[in-house]
Amino acid sequence: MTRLLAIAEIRLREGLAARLVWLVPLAFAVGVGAALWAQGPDPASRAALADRVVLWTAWGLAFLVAAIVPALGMPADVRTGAAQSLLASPVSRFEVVLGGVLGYGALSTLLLLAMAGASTLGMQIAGVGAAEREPIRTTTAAQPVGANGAGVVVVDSASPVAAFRFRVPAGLRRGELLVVRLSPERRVETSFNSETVVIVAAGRPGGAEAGSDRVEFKAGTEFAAHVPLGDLRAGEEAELAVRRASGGWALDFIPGSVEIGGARRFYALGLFEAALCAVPMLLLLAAIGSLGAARFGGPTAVALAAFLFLVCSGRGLLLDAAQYIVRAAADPTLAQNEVHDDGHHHAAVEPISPARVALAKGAIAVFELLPRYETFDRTDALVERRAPVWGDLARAAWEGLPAAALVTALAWMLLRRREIAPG
Amino acid sequence: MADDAPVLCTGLAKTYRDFWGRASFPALAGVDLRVARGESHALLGPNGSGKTTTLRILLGLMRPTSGEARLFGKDPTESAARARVGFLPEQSSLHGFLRARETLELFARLYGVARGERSRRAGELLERLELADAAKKRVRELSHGMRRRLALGVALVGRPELLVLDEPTAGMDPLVREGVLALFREHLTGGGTLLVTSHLLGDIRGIASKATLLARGVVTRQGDLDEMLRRPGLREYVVRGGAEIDDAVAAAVRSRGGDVVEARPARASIEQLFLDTYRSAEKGDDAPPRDR
Repeated sequence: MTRLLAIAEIRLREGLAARLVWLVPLAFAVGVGAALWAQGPDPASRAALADRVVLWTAWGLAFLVAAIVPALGMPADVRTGAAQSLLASPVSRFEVVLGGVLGYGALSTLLLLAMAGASTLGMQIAGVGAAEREPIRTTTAAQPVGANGAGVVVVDSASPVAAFRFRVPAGLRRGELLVVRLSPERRVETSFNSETVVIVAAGRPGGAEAGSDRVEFKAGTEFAAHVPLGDLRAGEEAELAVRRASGGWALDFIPGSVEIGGARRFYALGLFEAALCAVPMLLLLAAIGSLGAARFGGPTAVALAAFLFLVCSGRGLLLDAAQYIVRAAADPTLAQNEVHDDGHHHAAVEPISPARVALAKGAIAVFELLPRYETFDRTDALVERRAPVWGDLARAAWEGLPAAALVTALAWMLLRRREIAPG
Repeated sequence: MADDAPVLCTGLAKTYRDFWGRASFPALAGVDLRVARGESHALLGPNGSGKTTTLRILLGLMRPTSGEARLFGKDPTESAARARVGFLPEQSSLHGFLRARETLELFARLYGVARGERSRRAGELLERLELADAAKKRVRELSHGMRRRLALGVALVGRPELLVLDEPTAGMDPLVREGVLALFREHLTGGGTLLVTSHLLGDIRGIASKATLLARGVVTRQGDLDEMLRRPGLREYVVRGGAEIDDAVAAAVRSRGGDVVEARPARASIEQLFLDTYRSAEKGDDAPPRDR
């Protein structure tokens, strides 16, 4: 353990001494500058955009450092001869790899925490809509009433109202509005115009409405309603009714698409928890960087790390694309039925070849194994004023740590085979 | 019973391969080497003879193509085997961002030296290697010679039983070299074992008792170093006097059945001249260097 920690410490210090890492504050300052320059239709939107830019910058830079710095560390040690001294000592190659992953992971975590702290401070000092932001809250999913076999509740012309059960969250201040976030999927029904109006009401099950909110939004986008709770008390069973007042799109509420906002949380604490959610991904990326470094020289290791980082971060997009190919091959009318926001249909498409379908299926099998990027990057949730919960952290650890351990083991196997000679 | 000699190589062969795995350069071709406990063994040969490759295989940095290398009877890839070895590589590059003292403390940690002992050991070595003034300097700020000494400190910090030294005095001035050689002698006096490579015989003369001569990856001679250097039938004398005594000396030698093969004025080595001049200057003494 002493040797492992010694290697981790040396990697952390090596990272802090690297010139590349000192570019990070510079890049972050550019991100903050861009955030302060952000514009929006109202102060809340402007603040949300500023948050999005600055958090995206912080998370992106930390992820890049985690992947790139390890890819340069070991090759430089081998080239200069430092690896020779290190590996001729009693330290094992496994300790070198694992210590490196831990050290570089710690480096990127420290950078992320520093940038997250600086972002909060910077936004406060610059006063970018600080007063306009809603407090962040924990959220819980509301349970649909009368869902179909797939657990979906549909709001359309035939059934314009959907009901959901929830428990009034504890910690809401007296007179505070209940924040409800809704993210239904859309289906064209009578019109391509996506302007939609819904009325969201809360009350006791089977009883009178305690209060309601009328919300205008574009179908396909997430929206929030602020509903008065009336005399409903914390812990009480309640019902939420979502009624479509106008719009030509059917709304499909899948499980988890209606969330009830709970007690306010400190933003700084939420930011810290979000940063903790990123730690397993930072370790995974450090392992990916070490994987290339264990076998190749610096440029190849960086290219490999950058490629794998892009695959990890683009997993959702790539998986969607592959799944679409498989669905479209099974149902050739799917592509023709796709419509753009302006109502235009896709042009007729060529049939999909079996080879392409097989490739897509293979890609799905591979991408399903990869951890989901969104699990580690909770910045969207923060921008949407959702506080991360410990469950998010557990999910991030569950998805990220086994993958990090697997890649670390692969890196160790490569380093074990490597012959160490400087030059 | 297994041989637990500090160094044991049996039929060691190594062929370097290119990126595609094709054999490109045979570096070693069946080297046998055994260094017993307490022995000081020199691995000699010109550049490219396979000395460094042998050491790298011995330290688990490279794998042999065939044959076997053992450290204290164990596979060199085992940490426990390397824990008994201190290594001074030919190209001693340490982490430039660390300070000299931190470097020694780091390696003391890797060698399992107790926490309380690390700082004391590092301080002691810095003193012995005349690096005390540079203790707080970063490695990248040190001169080449200072870095070599620091690398030697790294090799010594774990109090190893076996010291493996690759061209140990390369880049050191004669004064420092003398101090370093004294450290090696001290290691041997304490019962330690030494394996040293050099392509300059003068560097290891006086510390190595046995030697293996390598040429193109093959052992050409092996045995006692003094025996190897001995010129059979010849003796060397240094006598006080000038050219005027040459005839008298030659006559005396011939009267006993011998012959004078070579007679010339005795000369100090350049290193000795450097040492004497430096010491005289330090003492403020203008006297010429002593004859040797």
